[in-house]
Amino acid sequence: MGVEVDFEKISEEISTSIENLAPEKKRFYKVTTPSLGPSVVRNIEAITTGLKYVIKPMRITIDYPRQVLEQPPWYRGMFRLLENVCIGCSLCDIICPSDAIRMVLNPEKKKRPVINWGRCIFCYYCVDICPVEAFDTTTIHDMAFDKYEDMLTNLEEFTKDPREKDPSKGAMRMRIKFDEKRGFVYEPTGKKNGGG
Amino acid sequence: MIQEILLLKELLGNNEMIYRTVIGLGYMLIYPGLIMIVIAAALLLWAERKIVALVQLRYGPLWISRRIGGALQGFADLIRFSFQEVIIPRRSDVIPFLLSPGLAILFSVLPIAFMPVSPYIKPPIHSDIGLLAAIAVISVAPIFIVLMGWASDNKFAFVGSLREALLIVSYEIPFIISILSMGVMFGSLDFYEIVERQSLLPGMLLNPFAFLASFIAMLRVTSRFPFEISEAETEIVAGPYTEYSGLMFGLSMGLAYIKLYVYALMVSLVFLGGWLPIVSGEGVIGGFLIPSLIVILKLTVVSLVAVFLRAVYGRYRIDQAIRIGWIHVFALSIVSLVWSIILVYGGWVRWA
Repeated sequence: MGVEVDFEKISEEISTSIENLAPEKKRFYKVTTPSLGPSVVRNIEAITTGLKYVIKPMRITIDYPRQVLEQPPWYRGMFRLLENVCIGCSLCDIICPSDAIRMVLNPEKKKRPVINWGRCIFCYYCVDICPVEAFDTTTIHDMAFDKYEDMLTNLEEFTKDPREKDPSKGAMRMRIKFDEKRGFVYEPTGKKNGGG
Repeated sequence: MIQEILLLKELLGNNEMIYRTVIGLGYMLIYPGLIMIVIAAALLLWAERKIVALVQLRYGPLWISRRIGGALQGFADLIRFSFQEVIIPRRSDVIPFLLSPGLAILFSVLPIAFMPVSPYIKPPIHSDIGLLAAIAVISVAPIFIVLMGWASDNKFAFVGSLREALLIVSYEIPFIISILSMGVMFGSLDFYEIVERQSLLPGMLLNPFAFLASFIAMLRVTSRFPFEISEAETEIVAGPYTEYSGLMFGLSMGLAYIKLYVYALMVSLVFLGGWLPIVSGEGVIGGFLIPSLIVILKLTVVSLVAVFLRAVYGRYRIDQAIRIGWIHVFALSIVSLVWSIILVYGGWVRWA
């Protein structure tokens, strides 16, 4: 029991439908080979363009761990809890849209937030809503963790300064500049990253 | 080094057989054989990544050996591969799976035995059909690439090896025809005579059609862009090498570069005049080292152009590649053969 398919009929139908198409659409269906002259010219153009960049490099990336892009002060990076300032109101836990913040009890039986960096989406609702500004914010966004469990902070880790573990510590900060010929280029600001 | 060779000659002076065996082993295993090929492949890997990065406006490998632009990246990769675990898939055909990368590399390196790099020290097998023999030996290597895909029992590996089989047939024939048309023109298949007869004009200018056809066919046979279809990373993971890991992956990935080295050596001997500014020399330095370095320089230029094309071209579809292979490159190789015959029978070239 099989379905009989008339392949010849189908292929005929397809070819007639392609022939009835408008000429500007037809070229998508037809296999065209460019003639020799233009294709040779195009190949040579492509190769010379490539050679131009090999001879005269024009890099648009930065040498990352040694150079970092300078972030604006309002950039939403990793933050830490100032435990003495916090009043334990739980507003950050309530507003957190991704359920990353959780309240725990500290040794003095007071409520304090801890964060799961694996869930955090860096929306900064918690920082905004905090009535006593108990979060110390940084512009660090490129922290790496060895294990998933490391992203689950406890109270002690959440109060540590993330600047101490900054992976691009000591890197040169770069600023974006617009150049008339090359477009956007990076220029060093002269300031080193990290270390306060 | 030189003093040691001379000492060796003194010690074994009377025994020609042992002397030739030692020289032959050194030729095959050290220079310009296996160790030189591994060094060249590692540097070529770095050069390819660096050139492509430059064209794509990036930095390229820079983390290892920063002062020399990350040139030791290939060696670092090699060391990493050799300490990684080799995983053998449960459903694979174990013996062919383990043997085929090594055999493919063996048959890629073996043509060195026929190819001279200097007038003073002859290759281990000095034959008057050296060109034909070298092509014949290196044509065996793709069989083991097909075997890799078969033994892996992986659909990507199988598809990749089928693509390799399909395309190698379409491009090895033009390569063989175009490079043998040089043999027709020079009236010899001996590498020494071929190099000697280019003293006035390099073979590249005597028969430009053959050079173009064999260069394009070389790009496909060593799976360089725009013909890197059997290992198409975006389509079929790594083609025939998908299931390999650790050192086995290092071997199979280096295979393309090893083949590139050998093919570029062949092209630089046949088309670029080999060691030609130097006609003959005496002693180890003048007769072997300097001519061989000239050959290596020409080889490097050919392989750098071949790896540079990765930055310029995209990847052809299989049907496009086969059409180009059978219509254009094959026709070009036939034209080169006819051109050689015209040159020889028209009396334009005459060899003493």
